[in-house]
Amino acid sequence: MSRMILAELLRLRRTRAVWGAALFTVVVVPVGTLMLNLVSSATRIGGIDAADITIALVLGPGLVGPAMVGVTAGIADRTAGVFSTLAATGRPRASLFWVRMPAVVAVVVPLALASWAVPCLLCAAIRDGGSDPMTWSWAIDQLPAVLVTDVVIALTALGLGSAGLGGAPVIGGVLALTLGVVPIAGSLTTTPDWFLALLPPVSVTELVGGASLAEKMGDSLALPAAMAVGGLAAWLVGSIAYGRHRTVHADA
Amino acid sequence: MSEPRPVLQTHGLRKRYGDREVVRGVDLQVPRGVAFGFLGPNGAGKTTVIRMLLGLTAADAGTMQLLGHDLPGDRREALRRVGAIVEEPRFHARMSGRENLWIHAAVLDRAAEQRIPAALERVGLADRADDRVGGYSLGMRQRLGIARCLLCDPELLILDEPANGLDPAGIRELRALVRSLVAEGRTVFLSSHLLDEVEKTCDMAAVIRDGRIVAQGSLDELAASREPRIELKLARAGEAATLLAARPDVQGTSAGADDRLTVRLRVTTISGEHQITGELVRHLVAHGFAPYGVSSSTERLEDRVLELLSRSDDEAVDRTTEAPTLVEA
Repeated sequence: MSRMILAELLRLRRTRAVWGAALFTVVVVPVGTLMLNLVSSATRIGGIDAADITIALVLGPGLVGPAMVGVTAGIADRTAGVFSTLAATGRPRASLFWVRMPAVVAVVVPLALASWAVPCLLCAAIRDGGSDPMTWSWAIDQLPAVLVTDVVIALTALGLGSAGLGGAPVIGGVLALTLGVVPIAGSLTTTPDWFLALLPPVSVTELVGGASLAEKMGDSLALPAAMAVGGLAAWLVGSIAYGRHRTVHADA
Repeated sequence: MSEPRPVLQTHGLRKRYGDREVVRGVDLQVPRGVAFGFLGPNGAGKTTVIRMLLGLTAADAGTMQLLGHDLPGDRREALRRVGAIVEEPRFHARMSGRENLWIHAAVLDRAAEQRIPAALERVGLADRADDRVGGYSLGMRQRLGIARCLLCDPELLILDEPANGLDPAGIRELRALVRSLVAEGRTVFLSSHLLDEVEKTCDMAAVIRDGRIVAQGSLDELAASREPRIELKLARAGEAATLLAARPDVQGTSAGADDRLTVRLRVTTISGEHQITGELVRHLVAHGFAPYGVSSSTERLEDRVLELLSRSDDEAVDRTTEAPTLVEA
């Protein structure tokens, strides 16, 4: 099994989409945010303010990166036409699905660490006089949210990709979720808790803290922990079970 | 002594996609250690049968056995020593040939990984193994596909249209490779819509049309089940026809235009036909004729297969024999 996981890792490393995801999450989102910050006269440059916004964006549109990794792992064999050959070895198809999960986590965790470290380092290094300095204790408080959200999104995308959804619907869904649904739902006081719990970036930040785009757009949220866990579990279990089912039962 | 168990056996195999039944009660028996052609036009159901055998799609009815193991129940054991190319060999284009084989070997076992260098050497790709597959020609990808099949040290190779897209040199290499695999005692099940390819590569064949097996057996049996005939080209064809008609191994003759002489033979096998053809030519030469052309039995097999494939449904009846000899449907 460990050789199969290494094979999955090799395949992911050789995929353009994974490098695109890394570029987007680690470079485009944080550096782009800071560049906008630099050219904008309305905001303070660097420091804690910029770091807070940048981490919130890493937990927003920045989730496209882990989603790309997940969905790529889910669809790569079928897209390349290799899945039928692997399935024809007699190896249970379920095992072909399960080995994708540790490989995705192994790619996404360093990606998440980099997407957290880069903006924190930049915001610590670049600061004008009007902004409070970013403290490392604050930065470390953000880390669990970045790690957990990235892994949840990547595994959800893996499940959906394995179920046959293409990259475009999954990436589009993540963008719509993070740029549209989360800020709007967060800004409306009438949004029911169960709906907020179904928004992974909201559920995670409610559970482990971290900068939240939803909170920046509206009032402070107070989601019950059980509901937040339930929301995340629903996504994870639902998408992974669906992906596994389709991998095992659909024509190869 | 009992007959060895076939390496591939199906009974009453059926598959329907929506309203269309694409496989309609296929019975196949492939003995060990032969190259077995699975011949039929595009859309006849060849790939669907192969996909069912490999567990890539479920059969609606019927039974299947590979290497003595029932499918789909004992799928893992059945496929453990089966190498397959389905439709066309596909790979991760941005990875090298060696890496693609390594990914496949990881799904098999550690021994498979150790077979990679030998497999690459065997198909003549050792020098290009570290190049990206995206830069490979179709012929190279076909060879890499066969190398991938070899990783499990297969007893049975299932090759779906392996000659597709190959140039004549590539087809010749493929043929030699298949024959060398058979010489090692492996069985090759080769689907093709190219009669010529099956005839030059295989020992036995089954003909499928509209999802039904219309004939199967050795190529000799397949060809000999039609009235055997040869065609000669020579001057004074009319006189030669009279001369040959008197021989006991000749059933009849007919001389046509352009020095053409058709001779119907009393013979049941291709080897017998070859022997008589030689004797007829010697006989003609001894009587002052100079034949300058003799048609091969290829045309007879071709005629036979075309005849089988062109029959209407009403003429086709399911075959039920258990012996792997030709039984016309």
